Amino acid sequence: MCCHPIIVFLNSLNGDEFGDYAGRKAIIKMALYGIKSAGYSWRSFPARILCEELNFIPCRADMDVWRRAARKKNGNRYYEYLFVYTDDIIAISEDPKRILDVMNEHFLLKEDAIEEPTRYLGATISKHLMDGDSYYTWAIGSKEYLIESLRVVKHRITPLNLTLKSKVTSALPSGYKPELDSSDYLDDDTTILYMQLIGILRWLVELGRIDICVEVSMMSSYNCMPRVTHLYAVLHIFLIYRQIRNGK
Amino acid sequence: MDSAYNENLPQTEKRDWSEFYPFARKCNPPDMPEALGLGVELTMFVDASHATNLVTRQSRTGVSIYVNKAPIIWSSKKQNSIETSSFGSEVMALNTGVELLEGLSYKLQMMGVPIEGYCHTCVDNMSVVNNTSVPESVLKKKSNSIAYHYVRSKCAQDILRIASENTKTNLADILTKVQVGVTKKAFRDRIIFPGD
Repeated sequence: MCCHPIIVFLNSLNGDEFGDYAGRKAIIKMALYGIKSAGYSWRSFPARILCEELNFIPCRADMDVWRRAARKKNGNRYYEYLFVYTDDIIAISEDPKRILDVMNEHFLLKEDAIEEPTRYLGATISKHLMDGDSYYTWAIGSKEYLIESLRVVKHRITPLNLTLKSKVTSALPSGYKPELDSSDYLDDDTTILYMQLIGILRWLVELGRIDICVEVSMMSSYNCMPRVTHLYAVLHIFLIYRQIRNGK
Repeated sequence: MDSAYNENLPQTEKRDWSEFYPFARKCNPPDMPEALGLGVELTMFVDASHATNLVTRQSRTGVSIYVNKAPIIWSSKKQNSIETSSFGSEVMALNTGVELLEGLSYKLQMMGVPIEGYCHTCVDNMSVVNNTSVPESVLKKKSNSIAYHYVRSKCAQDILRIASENTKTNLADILTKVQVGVTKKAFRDRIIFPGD
């Protein structure tokens, strides 16, 4: 996106391949992946458009949230918001298309890219008409992420040939106390798997699965040195969701 | 908080903290934008499960903060300190909750969202409710006094009001204990919208 020449230092690139040029300044004419200032360039470009062309200002409490005072059709004053996460943008306004159309002139969005959001950062976005309401209520959920995570977990644990229960009744085994576990420690590869599973569960909780928050928090304590039964307990959490998804 | 709001409260909810925290004032962020649009109400549920870790006897904090009817912040964390009483663990949990609440209030204010009234804070421990909502009450235990004064000073600043909530209906209960069966389903149905 940004093609301005950037001066970077090659101080760290002092290998033989640079010969006499090692340690010298270099002018990059094309943006490449891996430059330390790439994030800055990426951010500063849309920031300039949002500030100068659209008169949005970033909130100091969260620099990815941009706001602009506006007036509704009924005359009430309110703020229009833009949530900008790298190249995912959500506009909240009475007429969001008007904002995004202006952005389209500067950023060349994909065709049909301007639409009502259905996913954002892994979350499923939906809108519902609640009982007695004449307006829609937006909801954030984890449905698609959950389905995908179940598929990934199944794929990751297949080589381990674990014997898992076919039917479970709670997120953790009944009466299970992870702090009293004295089974063997997991080996390095399986420890990494454990960490990945905890990572998936942490994001599930973040997306709204409040009901497993305490279980995931308890199991996260053993992230750096998990035991065999800890792994079974974490898989147990996924089992209950598989069961719910299968309608059992 | 504007004094008009305090005057509209029922007699039982009016509190005069000036004798105990004479310098307590609600401070808005310095460069807060003008608040526009409809206001929101904050509700916080706080709970603690005392000494549930069987090895270290640490307690667990559960906090969930609602903006209007939507849960925005939820947290379940093992407490750092080891408390000898359930009162102690509840006060420490309330301390954590108020810190999270301050962060959320700052964010909303900086985004220009008006906050209406106090944050209604629901705790299921009656001793905590009395100690933090009645200005005249004093803490008998010397421990936890920092958390105690922290929460009370926020009440004096009119940021929140503490109220009692039955354990069975305290929504933070699901964030402190592993629930099973019908109890868990009841909480889940109250918190999570099933969708279609």
